[in-house]
Amino acid sequence: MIAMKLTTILLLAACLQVSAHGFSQVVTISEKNAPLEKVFSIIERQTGYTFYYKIELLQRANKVSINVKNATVEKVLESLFKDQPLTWNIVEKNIVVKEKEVRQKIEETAIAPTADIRGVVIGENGSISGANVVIKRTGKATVTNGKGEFALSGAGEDDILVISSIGYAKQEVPLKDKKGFVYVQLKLSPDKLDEVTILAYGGTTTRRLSTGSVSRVTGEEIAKQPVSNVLQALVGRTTGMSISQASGLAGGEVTFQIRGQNSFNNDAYSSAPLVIVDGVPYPNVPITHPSVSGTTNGVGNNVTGFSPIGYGNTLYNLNPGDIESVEILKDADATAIYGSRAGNGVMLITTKKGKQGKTKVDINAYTGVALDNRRVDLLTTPEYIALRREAFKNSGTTPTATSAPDLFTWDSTKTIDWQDKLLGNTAHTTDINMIMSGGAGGTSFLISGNYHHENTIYPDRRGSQKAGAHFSLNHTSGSGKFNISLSGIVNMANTKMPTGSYGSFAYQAPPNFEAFDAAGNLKWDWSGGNPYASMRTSYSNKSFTLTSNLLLRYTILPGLDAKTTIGYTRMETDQQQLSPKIAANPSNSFFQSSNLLSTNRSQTLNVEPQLQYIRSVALGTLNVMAGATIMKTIGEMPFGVSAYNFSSDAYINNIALAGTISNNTTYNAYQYVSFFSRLNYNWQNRYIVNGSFRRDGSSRFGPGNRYGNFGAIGAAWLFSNESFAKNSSFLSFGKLRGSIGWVGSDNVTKNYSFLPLYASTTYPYNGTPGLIPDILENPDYGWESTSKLEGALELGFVKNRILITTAWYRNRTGNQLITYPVSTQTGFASYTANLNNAVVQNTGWEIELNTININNKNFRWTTSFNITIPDNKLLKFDGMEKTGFANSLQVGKSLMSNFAIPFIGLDSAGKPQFQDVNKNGTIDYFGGIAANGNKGDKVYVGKSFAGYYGGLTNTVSYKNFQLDFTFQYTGDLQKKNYLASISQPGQMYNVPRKAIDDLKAKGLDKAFFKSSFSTDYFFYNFIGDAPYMNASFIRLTNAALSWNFSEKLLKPLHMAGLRAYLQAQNLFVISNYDGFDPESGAVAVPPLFRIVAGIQCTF
Amino acid sequence: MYILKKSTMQLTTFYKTILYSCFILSTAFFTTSCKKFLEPDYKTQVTKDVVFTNDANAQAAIAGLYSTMATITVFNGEITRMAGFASDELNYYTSNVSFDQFQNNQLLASNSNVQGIWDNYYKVIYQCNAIIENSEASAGMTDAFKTQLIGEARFLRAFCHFYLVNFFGPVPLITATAKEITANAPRNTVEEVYTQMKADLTGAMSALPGDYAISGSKRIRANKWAAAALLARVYLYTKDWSNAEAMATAVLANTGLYSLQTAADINNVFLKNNSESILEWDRTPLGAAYEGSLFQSWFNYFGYFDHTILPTLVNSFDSTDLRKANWIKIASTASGPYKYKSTSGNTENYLVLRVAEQYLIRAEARAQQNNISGAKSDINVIRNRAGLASDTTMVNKTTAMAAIENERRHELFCEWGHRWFDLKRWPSLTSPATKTRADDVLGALKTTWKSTAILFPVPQTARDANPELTQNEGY
Repeated sequence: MIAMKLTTILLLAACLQVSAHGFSQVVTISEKNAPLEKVFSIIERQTGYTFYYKIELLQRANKVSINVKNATVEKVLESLFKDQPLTWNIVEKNIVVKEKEVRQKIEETAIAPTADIRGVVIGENGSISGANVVIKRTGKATVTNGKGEFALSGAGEDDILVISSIGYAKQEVPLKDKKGFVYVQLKLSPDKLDEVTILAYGGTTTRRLSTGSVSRVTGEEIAKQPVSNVLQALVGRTTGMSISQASGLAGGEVTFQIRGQNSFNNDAYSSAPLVIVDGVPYPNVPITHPSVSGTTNGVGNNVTGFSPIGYGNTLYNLNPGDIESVEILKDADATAIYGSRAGNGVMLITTKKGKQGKTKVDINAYTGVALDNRRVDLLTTPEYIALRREAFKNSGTTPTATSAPDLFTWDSTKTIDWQDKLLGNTAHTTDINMIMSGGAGGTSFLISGNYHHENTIYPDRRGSQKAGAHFSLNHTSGSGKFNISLSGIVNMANTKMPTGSYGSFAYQAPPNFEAFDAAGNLKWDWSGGNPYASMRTSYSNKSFTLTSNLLLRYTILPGLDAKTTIGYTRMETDQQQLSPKIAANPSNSFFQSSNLLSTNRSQTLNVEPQLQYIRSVALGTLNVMAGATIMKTIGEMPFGVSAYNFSSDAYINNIALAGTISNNTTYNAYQYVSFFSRLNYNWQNRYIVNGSFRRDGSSRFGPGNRYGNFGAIGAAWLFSNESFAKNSSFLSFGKLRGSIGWVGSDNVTKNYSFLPLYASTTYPYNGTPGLIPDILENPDYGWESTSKLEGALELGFVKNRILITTAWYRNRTGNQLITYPVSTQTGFASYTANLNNAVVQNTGWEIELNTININNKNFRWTTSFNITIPDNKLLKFDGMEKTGFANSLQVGKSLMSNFAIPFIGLDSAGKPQFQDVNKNGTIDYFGGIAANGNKGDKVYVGKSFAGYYGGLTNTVSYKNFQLDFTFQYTGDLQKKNYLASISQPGQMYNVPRKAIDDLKAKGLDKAFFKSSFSTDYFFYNFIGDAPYMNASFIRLTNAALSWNFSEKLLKPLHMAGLRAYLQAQNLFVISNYDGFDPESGAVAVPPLFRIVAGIQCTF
Repeated sequence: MYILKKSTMQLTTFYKTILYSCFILSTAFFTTSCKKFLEPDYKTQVTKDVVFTNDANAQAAIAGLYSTMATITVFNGEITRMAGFASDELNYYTSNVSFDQFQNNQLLASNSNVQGIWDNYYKVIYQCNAIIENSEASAGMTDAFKTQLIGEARFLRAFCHFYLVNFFGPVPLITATAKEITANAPRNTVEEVYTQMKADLTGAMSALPGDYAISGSKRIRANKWAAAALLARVYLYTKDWSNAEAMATAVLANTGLYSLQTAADINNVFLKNNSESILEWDRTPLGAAYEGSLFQSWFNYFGYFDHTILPTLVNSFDSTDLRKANWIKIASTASGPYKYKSTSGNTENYLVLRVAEQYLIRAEARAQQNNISGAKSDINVIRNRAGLASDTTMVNKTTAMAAIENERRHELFCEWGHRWFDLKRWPSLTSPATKTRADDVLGALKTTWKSTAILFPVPQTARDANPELTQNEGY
């Protein structure tokens, strides 16, 4: 403690001198006989400076009277301390108060040769714990404690201390004249390599020191994109993560996957990454999914096609403006600490936190429009009618007014552009985000609110509204030993849509079909329905999300921290689907007006006690962590009501007036416990080893299968820190890293499938409620496991102006946890099981290149480019012939392969011919894959996942202007074109002209253009290989232009910053794909072109 | 350094308490209750042990079984229309991908309607097997109740196997729930399936009561006579004429319970709980029978049928036939089935077994045993009820069979696929050794007819998942 007091002069070291003047601000105070503390707090409030002092000191201080106006801080302090036994100095924004007479003591002590050195390390937000302090000469090292303090022995007057901490620039401090005490103020590192990266359980690292594979997207990058779902903002910006937008609707489904599909199960959910928001698991599947709610149920299940219920949409409920950063953890080293559930990778979302300093208010608002800029060329009415007549002729039937009103009663001259009618409207978006943050002393806070409104391009213009609030509080106790932080996010979203699929309508409605008759009533003489009728239906989804997290940390001993996080997430959706009589064809034999409504709720409570110990061992730093997780998720549908057959549409909102009602309730919990530990050793920033081990238990498995063990080891060698590389002027950074590990998955489609469960029937029988078997139980399944291997080389050149990371990975998933398809003669279509004789391999290369091309005072241009080249392969599957997979999978090929029978041309009669691959004399249209034996003629024709994808972002800033643009590209993949989504040409549906021309050119018109069902067309389209086509594309995903107003302009406005911007999303797509969009597919509403103008001001 | 302010000093004790409590609690948690914590937690479902704990709980299992029958469409009218399309009864008014395949007898293995039959009939078989196995194993259920439940389950198991074997030919015979037994079970022979059906129905007959007391006099649960009626049909289909006759006779002997509606009341035949009904599915919570809305709704709006009865069938009725006047709705452009008249309300259940069929079964069984006069008297019961004069054509087996065919065609038209099954099971009149009646009739009617079409294709999905399943010839 003596040394603690020996601070007087030392604190005036280099850093102080640099900063003291620059931060002067004016103060106005008028106080009489006030305690010093009171004046301090006034100054803190006015200037954003923070006072540091020991409480006892102020008890000795005299009361003060002061009356100054617009005086500098220094002036005020001078007068305050004039008659005090205290003195002060300013370090950055900190004012340190000490005893005056200490000076002599220091000199006395200093006479003795310095054997010990003590000190404190402070960063932007206060003291830095865990900072590395090394004596350069001897390599002897220690780390700072929770208060940023350290003590080292064996340092002499001539020694130099090297102090480093994650995210900060390394600093060297000569000990000469320091009298045994140093005060070190670290500066945030400007180097991309040193940006803090968040790791599992609140750990941090930097790109420089990381042993694992982590991609990071910052809040700034997200803010440049006017998107409502953060997933859309990650497109093209990370390697290893594929993101695909299923539609352009407000809150539309977005699928995402990290490093490929591991699971046989084809639904996106089975390969869903774990999503963690501020340390707490966040629902990564719709909460209506059976894995959450227990059973298939109510409304959500019927209408998954509509946003925002689909996969990826839980994240729609998170405001992108609240996000500080998103980290994608990919390899075993980064993910293993999450053990099970990390098999498919982890997406860590960190929300914004308050920062020490003056209270800041930030308001960001934008508004804009969106439209569909992808159209398909369809037949005009004369062409359509000609096709229809041809079809009737080919079928040998004579059309009648009943069977072909389009030829007899409809206007044969007028062409209606249905794409324009249904998808040609302009959608509007408005988004407002306000953040207030600040902090003083040991406390910081952040409060934010946001509102987002977005409607659709449909004629009825319904859409989605979101509003939310977010707060974060952080407090560190005076001793520095205690830290408490609490954060909460509340979001509400309300989406209303009609229930039709208007993308399909736009394609298929005949060009001469009129939706209304002369009297204004809906017409029903088109067999495809009436798009305007579906507009009278309504699907609404109201959701409420609460994410909260409490963190308590206590430093038990220097280097030993105990920590507990308690997280609670609650998500609720109220869904309602109304189908009134006026929306239906009155002749529809089965139609009953209906009101389907349900509430679904998912709550997760997550408690994680942890112990962390950091100390120096030999010449390195050892960081050990151990902890446990206790988690419970309760999925409930408190009610799900299907009410049918209202006597009048006027009564449809009152279920008591329904003809028939059925109710359903579900409750299903999922529990999870685990013990984990992590050990990290960093030897002089040259060699880093990171190991983790974990034992997990999950209630998703039957007794005996509940526990699984997982672990990983990662290592890095920073060879640029070796003496041979140190003086290279060219190579500024070099790291070789690798990892190996095992992670697991307990993703099951339905919980408790190991139990013979019965569920209720919809209706009672003769008054007795019924129960029927719900699943085909299997008591034997357990953890799926993925082994992960990764090697990477990271290089930095020319003072890190060029950074290249090249990573190779190989993930192998075995003991696949799948819904195993069985013949329905068992009573069910599938059951949950492990496949222990099959292995799926995902390998790939990921390359990231970041360059600072130009970096002048006025002009800066940076580029980041990334490419992922994934491969997915079924490595082995013993005994596949005996399973239901034999017709859909082939060993050595991807899980997402397309198998079809090659189309080889026409026979003399004009019928399409296919290749008899297995040479058994017939075409086995419904047979299997030729390569799996002679049971079929299907062959591998391609794959539906991208062979490569990535993005290119350029950021150019000139003076106050900044321009950003991001290209996204996806290549080497096949998708079915619109042939597979449209009706057989010649039926009462419109078709793209190109499809007609293609088929005619191939001579298939005679066989296909028929008014009745053509088996030939069916085989050609659904069994043959012809409709598969290349769906590669390049998209200008985002362009953002912003202008920062100069300080001169802002001063009179009392603003700290003002930025005006234009942002555009999805500007154009280059692709040969036949359909609306190569990403969302042939007939879904494509991702919209969106442009917004906004303004951001900071006070 | 970094010495902070006052009140935080007291707070530290507070934090410390919280933190230590958390640690102590979680340690306690891990040492004591980890195992318990991972126990399944569900509230809205129950395990089979609970369902079959006692009679009261097990009621829900049998209610669940019948509820399935009453709600799934393939038990409520889909069979009528699919078999109607495939035979010479029904047409769909416009081109429809799936229906065209039925009408042209060119089904694809991918046809989802065919798959619907396969999947759902086996789904019910699973439920039946679960009731049989779990009732037998139950310690808490009374013997009487077990017998009742097992009897009904065996009846429905036979019922489902009947339709499967008649649509698909040799099918896997499923009498267990364990997937290890059932998942890759190959197709059994038709004979094996029938043998099991006979055993199930005989067992059901001895297990079940001869009245409808358990369902409050509503004819909505299988009783002894329902089992006998289906058994009579099974004997008929397997050419066991004497047993078919005996079973039909046994059913018809219950004159107190069963009688034909009179000619005047011919429109009562498909009403709830009428005297002609042997078994029906209770549609009370759902309103009208599905088949009613299936056929009538379109007509009610447009004035013509989307499911139209072929003119050949309409015209084959005698003009005075009450069935033509009452069970067919003659519309200006096309006629449609009108056995079920209601699209809403609660007057009609879905009729599964009825007395008229038993007369026809007995007539055929008698004719095959050369009891022409006996056959004739049964046929006349049906004819007279339809307002027709007694038969004058039946003089030998051949003419008797022709009259029986005619009567079955007109009494049982558009009803549970009777016509389709009859055409399949009867030999051709011209080349009885190699062809079926379907070849005679449908070959003349449809250019696309093939003999192999008498069996539907085994659904592709079923074969994908069970490589042991072979495909029927012609697909």
